[in-house]
Amino acid sequence: MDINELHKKLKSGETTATALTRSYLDKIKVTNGKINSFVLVCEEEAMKEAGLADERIRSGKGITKLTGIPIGLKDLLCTKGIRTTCASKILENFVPSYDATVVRKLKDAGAVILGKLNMDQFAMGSSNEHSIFGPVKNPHDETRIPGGSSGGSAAAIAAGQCIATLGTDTGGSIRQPAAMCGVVGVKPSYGRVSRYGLVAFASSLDQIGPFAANVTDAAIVLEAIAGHDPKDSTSLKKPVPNYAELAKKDIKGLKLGIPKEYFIKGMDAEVEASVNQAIDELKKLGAEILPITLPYTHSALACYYIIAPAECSANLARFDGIRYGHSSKNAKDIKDLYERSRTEGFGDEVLLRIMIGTYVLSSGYYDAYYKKAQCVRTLIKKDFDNAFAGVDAIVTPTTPSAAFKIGEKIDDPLQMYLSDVFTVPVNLAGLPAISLPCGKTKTGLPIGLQVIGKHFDEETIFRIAYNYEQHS
Amino acid sequence: MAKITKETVEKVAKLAALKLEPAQLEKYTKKFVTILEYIEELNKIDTKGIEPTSHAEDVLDMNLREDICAKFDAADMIASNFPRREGNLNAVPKVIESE
Repeated sequence: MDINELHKKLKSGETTATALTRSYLDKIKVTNGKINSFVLVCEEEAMKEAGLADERIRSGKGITKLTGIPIGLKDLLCTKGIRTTCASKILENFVPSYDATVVRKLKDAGAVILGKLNMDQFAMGSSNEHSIFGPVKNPHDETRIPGGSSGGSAAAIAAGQCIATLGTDTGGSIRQPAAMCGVVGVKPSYGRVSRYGLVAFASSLDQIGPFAANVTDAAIVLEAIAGHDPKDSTSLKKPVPNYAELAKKDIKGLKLGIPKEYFIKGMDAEVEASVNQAIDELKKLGAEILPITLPYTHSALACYYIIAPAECSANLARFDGIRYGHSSKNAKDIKDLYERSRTEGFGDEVLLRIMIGTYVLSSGYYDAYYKKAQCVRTLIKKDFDNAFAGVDAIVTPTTPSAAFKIGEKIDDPLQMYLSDVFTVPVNLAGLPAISLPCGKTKTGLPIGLQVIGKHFDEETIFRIAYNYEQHS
Repeated sequence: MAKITKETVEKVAKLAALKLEPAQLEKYTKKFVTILEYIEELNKIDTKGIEPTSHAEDVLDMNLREDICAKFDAADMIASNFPRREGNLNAVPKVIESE
């Protein structure tokens, strides 16, 4: 059932937030042992919030579309009084003293927070295998990964454990798992959603966005969490449109660019066929399909793997075992305490990225790596600027292949990173993009279609996605 | 590419306030080399005259708010995260050695 239907039933009294929350908590109890998407279920708090939502509905005051709607949160969004771990040992027992702005906004809207969702540690990973809570299983095939890093957020939707979830996307961490789990995931424009209370990975790339089972639900949740926040100076003062309503407009005459660089040798033939079929469908719906070129696409991943680790090494310097988080018991002095707490507290992939980041920022290498990557970032942005001079949106596959097996790429970081090859350029350019299902492989694995928009033009990508969803 | 050895990785670990065991060092050096070889690809791109980008451009004309004090009501929750709490104080190892 979607948010609009549930909203009607809640308002008419046909169901209550309490009953709805109970049924989702029961579903989590039955399914979570297999899927491992939830790392913390907040049963008591959720039932309390549901009771408050019911009161709000009875009083008729302050009801929003999200009042009484059960939602899950990736475990790197700070929740006041509720453990927030980033799936790491270093924050295993960390309890924030404040809510992230997106969490506060959901609570203010009357949403019910069911709990915290599994992820790759500190959002670093593409398979949700880098978690102290163990891997998340793909609900479509439990021997396969759900994608990452927001694997728990995507799998929870696919397994019917939540109506909507929030994740974060630094290089594809919303869109890639959305594609692999067959759900809708939205990476908003950089600056659209406040990052206050999000445990930072790479601050110039991170954005929080929604997952849902359909485009309209994702649009409703994005509208609720978007907007300027005085606590995040990079969140822009631009009005938030009614995305769900605007998405209903048809796509006749819209110009859609198809970049040839996103149909690469070695990509899965079934993925390519499904995406081409979706493009045909969009054409039938009246869109004009135009070939475009984004020549620096092939450099985006290398660029990303300099910029993201560089920012990560700076952001994660705050974890020192002094004020919160894991603090080594065996340290002999302050320096030893820093080193031991950090080395014991961070997982393998996080340690690797901190060191890569430290290296590319270190004296003598800064210009060769970091500054070079920033210049390439400019070229990648220009690619998109040039393309958007002639098209309204860009349509691509979300990933080169469907979900891979658990353990398949865990020892080969480069192969793992390559699963983000089509999602990373969007983050470097700060653009909005959505991934939505566009068919399945013969073995039943979901395939994702990515629609990329101009900066702050979420309306158009929702519109294309909604029209495709209604007719596919 | 500058040659990456175990010593390079050890030095980087030290800069990042990390302390790796010999076995870890071996493992990370291998991964380090793979990744650096890959990112070296960027050197093939001519970026002469190209300005570096550090943020999505529209974000640069952000408005900074006024710095106004506001009351924070959960100080005790911050203190409960202290690894070595003594009352409302956070105990830390000695920073300056006394002779």
